[in-house]
Amino acid sequence: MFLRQVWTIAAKDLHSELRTKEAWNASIAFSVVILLLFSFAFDPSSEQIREFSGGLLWMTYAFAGALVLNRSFARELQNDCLDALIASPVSSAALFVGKALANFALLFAVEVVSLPVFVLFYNVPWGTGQILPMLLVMVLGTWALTVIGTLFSALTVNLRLRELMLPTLVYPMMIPALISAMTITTNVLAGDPMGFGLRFLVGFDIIFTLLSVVFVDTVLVG
Amino acid sequence: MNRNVQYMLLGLGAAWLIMFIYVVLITLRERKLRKELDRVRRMVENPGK
Amino acid sequence: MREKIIIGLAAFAGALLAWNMNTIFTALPDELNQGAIYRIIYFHVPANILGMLGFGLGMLLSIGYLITKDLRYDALAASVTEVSLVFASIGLATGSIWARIIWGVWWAWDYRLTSWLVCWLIFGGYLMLRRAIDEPNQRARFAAVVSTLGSVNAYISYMSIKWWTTQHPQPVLTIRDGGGMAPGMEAPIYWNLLALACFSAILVMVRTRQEAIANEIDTLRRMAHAQ
Repeated sequence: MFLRQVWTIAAKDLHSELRTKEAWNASIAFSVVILLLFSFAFDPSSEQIREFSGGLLWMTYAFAGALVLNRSFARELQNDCLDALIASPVSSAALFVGKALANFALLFAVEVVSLPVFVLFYNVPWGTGQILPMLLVMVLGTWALTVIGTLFSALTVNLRLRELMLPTLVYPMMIPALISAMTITTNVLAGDPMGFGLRFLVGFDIIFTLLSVVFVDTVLVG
Repeated sequence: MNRNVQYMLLGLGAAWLIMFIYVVLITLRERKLRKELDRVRRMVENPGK
Repeated sequence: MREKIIIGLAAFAGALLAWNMNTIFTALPDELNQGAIYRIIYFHVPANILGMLGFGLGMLLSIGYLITKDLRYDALAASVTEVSLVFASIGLATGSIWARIIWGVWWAWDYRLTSWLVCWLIFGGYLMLRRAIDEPNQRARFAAVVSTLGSVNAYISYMSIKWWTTQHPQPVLTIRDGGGMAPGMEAPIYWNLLALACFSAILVMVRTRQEAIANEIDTLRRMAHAQ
């Protein structure tokens, strides 16, 4: 029952996004622009780019992801859709997980499309042995960003200073996950073992998912 | 070593300064709240004014 | 009664602090490698301990609100968190000044410093969020959520020197399986901790009363407009 509700919500969100492709287009365009701008800031051919390749990639993902995540609950404000969703038999937890999954799918797709652009612009040496670890860190890191972004999207949706409060609250919260993802990515791209960051990221994901599911009811309904 | 002592005093000074600023902020807030409380109390006691 | 407690605490804390400062500056010698600057530890460590414990306490009080729906828990949580933020600021500032001498830089991006700065940003956001919401119950609920998530980061900061290799010194206090300090140098940390804890109790009491006054103003204002 719960899974069916989650699936319905996720499908609804993805469906409505695929129809207009607003967030998708904006995110892809934004991530390509950021990668381009960063390539002017740093010389992409230098050896030093290896050291912050992970950082570069995840900064791009975080900013592009913000475009997707900010709208998550805000798009329900029109026509009182949010009130209708809260009043419906769908539990807040199912609503949250459904939206989070939809956001995750969208964000992951943006990242997968941006990754070749990154590899191209920055001449990142790429071997087949790195694909799986890279996918793993992308999944874990994106889930962390998604969970935090979706929860705070719900929290700030009715605030009058939403545009200010959302980034102020979300970015500091994301930093531990971002730093872990960055160091793991840099290690993976250099061919080194992933290190402690992987365990930290898994733990972070689990804890924040649990806390978000527990608190989303408090945030939406009270 | 002198620079060492200088920075130690700077450090302790910074700690006390932050604390002092906070106490000042709290005091100002208290004063503002008291004034507002009196104003609202008067508003309630004299309706229509 | 309340005033008496505050004055009593202030007098006790003041006396303790004065006595401790005397110990720190006259009785203790300079540290072998660091010189005089090491004495910053007597404010840096207690401030950060109070900050971390305060953030955790704020989380517990917030959860207390969520369970009981009593706004007094929320007022207490907000006060404790705000005072803890002040102590975290003191910790960051004193640490930075110490680092300028010992490491040669004002700041380093190791995990302890970064995670503590993140905590500071999160709980600064907590206070901003409280300002942005007018309705007391909604404010309390949202603040509780942010407080809990922020406390996870406080825990990360606490464990950061164990989980990663950091530039920040490893534990030296005996209560945390350290034990690297010379005899007589560790005790003043705890005395300062007690004195600062008393000060923080006073600040929390004053601040909580201000929250109560603000709530009363709200209620009265609503009554006045209803007439």
